[in-house]
Amino acid sequence: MRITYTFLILPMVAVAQPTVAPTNESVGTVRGDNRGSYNILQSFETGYRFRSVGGDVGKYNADVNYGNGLRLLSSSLSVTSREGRGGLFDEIMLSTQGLGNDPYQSSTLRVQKNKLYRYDMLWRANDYNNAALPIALGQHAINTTRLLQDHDITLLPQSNLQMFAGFSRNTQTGPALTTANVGDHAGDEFTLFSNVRRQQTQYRVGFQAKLAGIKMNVLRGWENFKEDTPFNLGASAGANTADRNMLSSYRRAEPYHGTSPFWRVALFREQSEVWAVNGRFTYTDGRRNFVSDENLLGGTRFGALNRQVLVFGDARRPVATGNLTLSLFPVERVTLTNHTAVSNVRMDGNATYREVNSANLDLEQFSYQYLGIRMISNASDASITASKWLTLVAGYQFTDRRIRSVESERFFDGDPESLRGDQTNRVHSGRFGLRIRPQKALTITLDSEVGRADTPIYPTSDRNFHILGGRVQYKTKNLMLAMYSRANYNFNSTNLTSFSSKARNYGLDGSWTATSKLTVNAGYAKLHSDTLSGIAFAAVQRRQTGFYSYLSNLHSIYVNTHLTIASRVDLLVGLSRVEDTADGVDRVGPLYQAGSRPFFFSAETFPLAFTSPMARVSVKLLPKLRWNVAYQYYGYRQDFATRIIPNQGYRAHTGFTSLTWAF
Amino acid sequence: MFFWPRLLAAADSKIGFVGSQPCRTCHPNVTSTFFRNPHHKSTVNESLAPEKQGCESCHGPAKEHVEGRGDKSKIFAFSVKNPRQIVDRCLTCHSETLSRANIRRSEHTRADVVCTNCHSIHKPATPKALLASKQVDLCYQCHPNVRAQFSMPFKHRVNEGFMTCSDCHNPHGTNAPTWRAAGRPRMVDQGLNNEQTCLKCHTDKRGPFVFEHAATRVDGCETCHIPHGSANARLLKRPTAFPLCLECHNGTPGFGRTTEGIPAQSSSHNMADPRYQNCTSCHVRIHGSNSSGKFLR
Repeated sequence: MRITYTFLILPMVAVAQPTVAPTNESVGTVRGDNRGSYNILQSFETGYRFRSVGGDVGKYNADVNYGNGLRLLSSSLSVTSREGRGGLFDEIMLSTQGLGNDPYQSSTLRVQKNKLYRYDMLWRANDYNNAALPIALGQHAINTTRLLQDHDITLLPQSNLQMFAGFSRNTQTGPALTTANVGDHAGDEFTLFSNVRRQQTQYRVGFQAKLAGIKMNVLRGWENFKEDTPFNLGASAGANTADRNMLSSYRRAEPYHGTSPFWRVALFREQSEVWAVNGRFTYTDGRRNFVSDENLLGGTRFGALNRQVLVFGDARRPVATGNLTLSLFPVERVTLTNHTAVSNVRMDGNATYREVNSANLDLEQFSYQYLGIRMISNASDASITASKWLTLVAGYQFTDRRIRSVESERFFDGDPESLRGDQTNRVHSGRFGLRIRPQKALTITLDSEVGRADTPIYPTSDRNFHILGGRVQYKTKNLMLAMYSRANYNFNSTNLTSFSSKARNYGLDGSWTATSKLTVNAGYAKLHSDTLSGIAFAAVQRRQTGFYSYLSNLHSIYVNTHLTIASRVDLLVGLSRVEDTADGVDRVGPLYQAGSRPFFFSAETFPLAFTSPMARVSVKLLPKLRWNVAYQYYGYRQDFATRIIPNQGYRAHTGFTSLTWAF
Repeated sequence: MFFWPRLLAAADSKIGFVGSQPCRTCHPNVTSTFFRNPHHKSTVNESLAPEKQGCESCHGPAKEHVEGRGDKSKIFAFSVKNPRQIVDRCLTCHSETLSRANIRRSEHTRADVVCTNCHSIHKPATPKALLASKQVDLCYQCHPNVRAQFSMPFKHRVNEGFMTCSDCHNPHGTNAPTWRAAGRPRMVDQGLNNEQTCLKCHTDKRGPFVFEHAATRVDGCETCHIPHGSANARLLKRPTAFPLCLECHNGTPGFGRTTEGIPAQSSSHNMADPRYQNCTSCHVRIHGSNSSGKFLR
């Protein structure tokens, strides 16, 4: 019986993710305790988490964000009716993680009674911090809390007529900093404080009915969104203190509310040895109403500033989609599928912009925009098992996409100026693959795809692309070895500029369960990215053009080992390291140079390293009590520093000590 | 005539069922804690037909297996069946769920990654979905490059346990994406209202806005972001705005909403001045705006 328990525990201790996460070792008996007709299985892990950070704390908070304090690191509770015939419920499953004040907290609950109901709840909280945003000179910062909750109940879950209802809420609150441009293009950027207030709520009801093997699933939902983040600023000289732009007060309110009711109707039949079919149609309406009221007092290079801007209007986006999949299995070794997808998105809306300057009406502008995307796609795939050791896979996909656009604006009561566009984009792609299994433990997979698109909408979109992939895996009961390679190429060029991207991944991965007390996992991956693009920009009122190359060579390794010593002590050690070496290539250029100082380079690399070793020890003190201690180091090193991205390196020591017990 | 052999087979299938009780003799490690297993509900439901009840609902009639003293060839043993047979067997009951409606055309099924590759019915590590190990570890076994992406400084919090792969992906197969020419990415699940999965959580980016950044609607969020993990802030494809924005905004004819080129940077912006090198310092509402066609507020 002891062997039996070891097998039950093994999958739990085999996980070895190098993160200071709750320990996986279980306490108590796997059989649980019987109370009446129920069996109860539970465990709690509580302890103290610590951290010590040197260097850029803001970057640490953006990357990792673990703090100090007491935590309920994890808990689980399972109450199960042994006979499957409980009173109000047959099963309760509750699990939590990080409760107390961890930046990543979650809780899941399932309560169900066979044949009658099933209730699922998922609650999550994330302390979302990003104080190290290099893209706007660090001016954009955010330190918010995001709360997500989902509730779903299904009535008669095992019957031919099921009914379900659900509720979801997603809330984001907390402080943030953003910027506002004041004045003309030569104006200034002012850092604004805002207290983010966003909330999305979704209600849904539906049913599923089964008749003659065909299921019909109908869902009706309503999604409401509101945001009323206020922006305020007192006297400020702005980001560029040398200029004459200044503000004595700034206030902006922009409430934004709307609803997106939706329908989803699906018909499907999968249970068949000869054919299967499923179809789905969805329609989502979407409407948002908004008002933006901005008041600012101050001065610019043109004199005193006393301006009010009022913008109001609404936006709409109805989306209709349809899918139909037909699968045929004419003989056991052949599977044919065909999938057709249709989608139609229409976005339109209008905004009236009124600007009042020094109590005189200065500007009134009415803008209208429309963007419509209609897409039809059809994909056919075949899988043929030619023999016990060879399977062939092939497929073809065709997509036709029409994009229509209208941009219109009118000043005061003048004639509107309209800009219209209409284009069609077609993509053809073909796929072919092989799967060879010369022996039971060895699998060799090769796959490829080649595609052609005409009129891609962006210079970076797929145009002439091909993908090549291969994987060799050797897997036995205790050993898994795999190596893979994958290359994605895309060439999108015109006569004036060009874009090409090359992404290649290579890797090795292994997992070895030496004994029931020792497991080792290790892997290496290289992610290579190389893009070349044509860019154009203005410098000192002259248009500059050239080619820009971005090169990234990421090497990633991980290794972790789990060892059980004398049946009482569990030791987990691990290391994760990601390094962008750029393969020794430094910046090449310059693409643009003003005087002796280069501003942009025609080839750029951003070498960095992110290292995280960890260790965790768990000691079984009593049959129902374990003591755990863990340590994890996070080190981030940047081997570049630019005017835009300052050095953000940090070193962080984190860990926890905890007790896991069952009672 | 076509259905006659099937009717005979159905009649035969009622023969040879012995119930779950004999299984306890040789498989106590499975049966002793099986009451916690969701499949246990078929064991206690006496109104079900024999082929839908207990162990035999998955493993088929066990009479010959018992008489053969555990002969594996006399029962439906998943360990010796081919992937197609395993999918068919599980779908006998699990075809009831809409989320599995595309399982036969999924990348996983076509690659012979079927139910038992991820789910362990008798030795699950997770009680809810009966997974063989924690979900992220399962996915990493075949997608080690994704493990590398989630080890980046900036990433979605999957390793931390805040999210799971199935928050965005449906491992059982999905419909075609409604963005990016419907080809890729595969296995990414749409939201309930059929929009890009990112918008399930990033609701403030959803809109609709009067002034949509067309890139997000036509080619999707991946136009600028790497969703798993990136060395760059905000999961961006480039560390700075300079190339990220200008790779598209270069005015080259043939591209954009009107095919007259995506608007190039204004000549009034002097890129030699570092304050212009951070596009989002001024274009703050880059995902979409109601007040400004240039995303300024």
